[in-house]
Amino acid sequence: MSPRSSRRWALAGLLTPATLLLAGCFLVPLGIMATYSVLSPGLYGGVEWEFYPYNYGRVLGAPLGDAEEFDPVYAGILLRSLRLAAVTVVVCLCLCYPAAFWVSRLPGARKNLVLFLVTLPFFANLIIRVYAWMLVLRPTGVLTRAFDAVGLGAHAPDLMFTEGAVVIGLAYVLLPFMFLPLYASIEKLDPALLQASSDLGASPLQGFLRVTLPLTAPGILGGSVLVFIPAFGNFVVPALMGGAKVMLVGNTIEQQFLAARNWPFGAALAMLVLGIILIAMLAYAWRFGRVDGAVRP
Amino acid sequence: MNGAPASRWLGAWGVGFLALLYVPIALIFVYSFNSNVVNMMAWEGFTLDWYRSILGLPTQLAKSDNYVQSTATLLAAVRNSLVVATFATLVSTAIGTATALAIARHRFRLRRLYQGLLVLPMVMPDIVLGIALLIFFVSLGLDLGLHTIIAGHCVFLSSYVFVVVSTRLAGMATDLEEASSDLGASPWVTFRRVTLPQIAPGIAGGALLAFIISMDDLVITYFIAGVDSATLPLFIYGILRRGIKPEINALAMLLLAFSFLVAATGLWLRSRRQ
Amino acid sequence: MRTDRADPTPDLEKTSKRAVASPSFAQSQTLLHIRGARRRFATPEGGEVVALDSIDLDVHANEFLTLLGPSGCGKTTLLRAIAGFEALDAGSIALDGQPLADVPPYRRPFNTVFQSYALFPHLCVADNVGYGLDVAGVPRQERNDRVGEALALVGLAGLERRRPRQLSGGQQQRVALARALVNRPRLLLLDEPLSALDRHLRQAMQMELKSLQHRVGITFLVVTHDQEEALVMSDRIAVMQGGRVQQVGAPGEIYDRPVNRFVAGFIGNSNLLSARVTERSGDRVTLASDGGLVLHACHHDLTPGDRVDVLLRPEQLRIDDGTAPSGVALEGTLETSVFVGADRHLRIATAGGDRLTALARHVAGERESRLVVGERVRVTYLPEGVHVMRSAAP
Repeated sequence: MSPRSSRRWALAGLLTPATLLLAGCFLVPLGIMATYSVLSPGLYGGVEWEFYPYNYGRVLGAPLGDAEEFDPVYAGILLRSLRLAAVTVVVCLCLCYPAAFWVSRLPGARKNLVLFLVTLPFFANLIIRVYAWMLVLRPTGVLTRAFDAVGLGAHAPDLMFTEGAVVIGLAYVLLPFMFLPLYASIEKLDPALLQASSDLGASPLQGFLRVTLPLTAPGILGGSVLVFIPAFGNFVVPALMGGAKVMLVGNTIEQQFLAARNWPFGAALAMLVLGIILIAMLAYAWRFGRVDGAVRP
Repeated sequence: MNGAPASRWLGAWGVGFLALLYVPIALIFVYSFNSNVVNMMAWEGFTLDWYRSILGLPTQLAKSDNYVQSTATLLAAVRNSLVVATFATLVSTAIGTATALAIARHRFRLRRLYQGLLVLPMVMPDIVLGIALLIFFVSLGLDLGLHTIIAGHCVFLSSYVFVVVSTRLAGMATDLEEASSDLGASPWVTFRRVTLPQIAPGIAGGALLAFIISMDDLVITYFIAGVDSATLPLFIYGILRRGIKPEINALAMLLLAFSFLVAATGLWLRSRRQ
Repeated sequence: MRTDRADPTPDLEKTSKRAVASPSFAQSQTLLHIRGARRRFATPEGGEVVALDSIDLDVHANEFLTLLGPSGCGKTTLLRAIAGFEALDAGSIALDGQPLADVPPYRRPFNTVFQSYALFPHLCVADNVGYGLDVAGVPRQERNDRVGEALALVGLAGLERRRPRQLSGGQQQRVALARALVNRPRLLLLDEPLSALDRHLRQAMQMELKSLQHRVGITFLVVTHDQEEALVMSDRIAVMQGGRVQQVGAPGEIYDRPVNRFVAGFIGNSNLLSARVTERSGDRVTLASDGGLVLHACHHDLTPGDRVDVLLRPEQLRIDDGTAPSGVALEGTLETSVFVGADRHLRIATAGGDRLTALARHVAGERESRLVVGERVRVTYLPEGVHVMRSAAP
């Protein structure tokens, strides 16, 4: 066998398992879901095999010209999900940026220890991290008790089952996704550049705006995409901390599948989520060339 | 030094950041020893009863104070989680590593497509993958159970392993493999004697990550688990939806201790290799 | 096959090569035939780079051959094609007359010393060196003996259990050498072997590589961009540029009689002038440079009107202090005088605007060192020291 053809066999051998897995358990399921999203819901769950575009019309309504099925509740849920995901990104960014700067300036051994400490909670079970904040925010929780202790019991905010609680929960769970890309780009920043900037007469603020910010932009954007995507589609945090008051698109999908049993509509919602995520990812990849550069820690 | 106030401010922020990460977890730890049965937020005294109750040891607690009606249900969830994580890790480590090797060491037409496709399950919201798999398994007429969970986990765990091993491969210069070939080693011998030892830490890291993520996954499992195949996160989610009782603190601590142990071992191994 | 049949160089140049080459060389066999080797690469921007543009080259058994050229000239690609890491688009490489195209790297009886050394970080020194023997299934005892010999050969006995990262750059290189030599390859390929070493170590290793090659009797093919290195070590040098072999020959021949302007400029310090033949009588020619300088040289194959490039090595120019032996004289103004240790580089501008560099031995207190910039100086040269090359078509 010639070297070239034996290399081709090796390649085929290496790729076959992934091809089977991705085709069988990823592409085909997505295809079926896409099909479901344009079928008509059955009376008692299940689907009728007929073309029915109104699942999308229910959410997007007017833009598609389907005013009759349009229900503003769902458009509202979609917008709220986008808004809360965006707020979560901003909260994570504000918390992580100074912290990443701090870590990058620590001396060697301490830096490794702190990095270890920052990464460690990421490995804790997600459900437990959410639970920790339930413990803090619930009506009789730690926060209320803290206000009581300093004599401000009457002013204690009742955050549980509000949008605030959902943002806090999402931000806490997703912090590492923001921190690590930010840290990676800040760590690469040569301190001599800021010295050069101030040597050339720039104030610290100008130096930050003209040197630090542009150079760490890839980290900011990378972290934002990595936080935005799971925040947008999340359903555990809103289910536990938002309750019925803060419905997000993730809960709505879950509801359609497990309670309302309107699978085609749930599939259509999922397709919309997927579409929005793909647009965000493509925009990011187009700006920075590589999708796989945006890797979770 | 004129940068001193700024760096002091940064330091305070950093310490606050670490506190934010750990204080909520520390609270669970403290409350897991609180003996107050009626109001779990009010400290009454130290007890190990919650831990004992979870482990099935005799306690002075009334039956109604427990969620975990029998340790057997809990243990079944633990067992399900371990079975799923073990199988899914084995399969996805093999698939992820093979694909990483193909992408890193071969040039072929669909290379970019594969690269993109492999990252997709990882960056996609869990819920989308979860319901896609649910529709798929149901329309195939499969009964939901551990096997469907394992198959579902393999899809996104392979992506994680792929990324971790790819990073390792990218850091490994191809000239080592060329040197091996130059010294007379066939491709298979080169793989076994040079490539594999070089990427072994990456494979181990990827497998560890896959294991932890599999143990942690709630959303995808939520949709494709059968009646008897609740995993540990699913079990905890179920009881949290019913309300909070003190026992959950002890359970959370045990789970945390386990995750941290596995993660710390992994991170320590990685730092030692470098 | 005799060298004479395959060697395309003209007779005149061959005589001098024999004089310089090692005694065994004259009756040596041709080991490797490279004919019409071509290789192109696509650039990421969608363009194309011709790395090898029809290379013909013979490698003789037991010689020390250097591929010399600037970066991007194709020398590393040629080395990798010989090792088997790159396939050729066209042309052939044959070992003892057998084409190598379908032979994978691991079946070729060649070994490579990589520029990065490519030592296996997870193996100790002895296991690195023994790697080739292990995969070939050499019995344990013999393997250990040969590893020991190879390490002794490169002066590393006693470091068997060290890891590569615990060694200095020079030691790592010796391990790479031992790892390749222990397999007794027909041909040892060395890719910029000395580029990672500091200057002093590099000079010592040049000598050592050459003597090592004599001792082990293996053909060495070295890639380098360092002309000094090539001159010191090689039996023959192949000068490459733009994917082509410009000239193959012994170091002295390449230095004294380069075939074109590129080779003349790449090797050694040089004064290169463009000129036209104005007169010829016997083997004496008179040349007029574009800067208006009149030069005399020896050549038997030019006619008046021919365009030529003239090479005048700085050491062929002498400052006329009245004691110099007779020669042809030139006049000019001293522009700069640079002290570089053993020598002094004097730059002289002629009336017509040509600039020549002359080399003067630096001896404390001598006249040259007292020359003042701006002074009028006379330099002399011998017509035999002027090398004339036909210009390439403009």
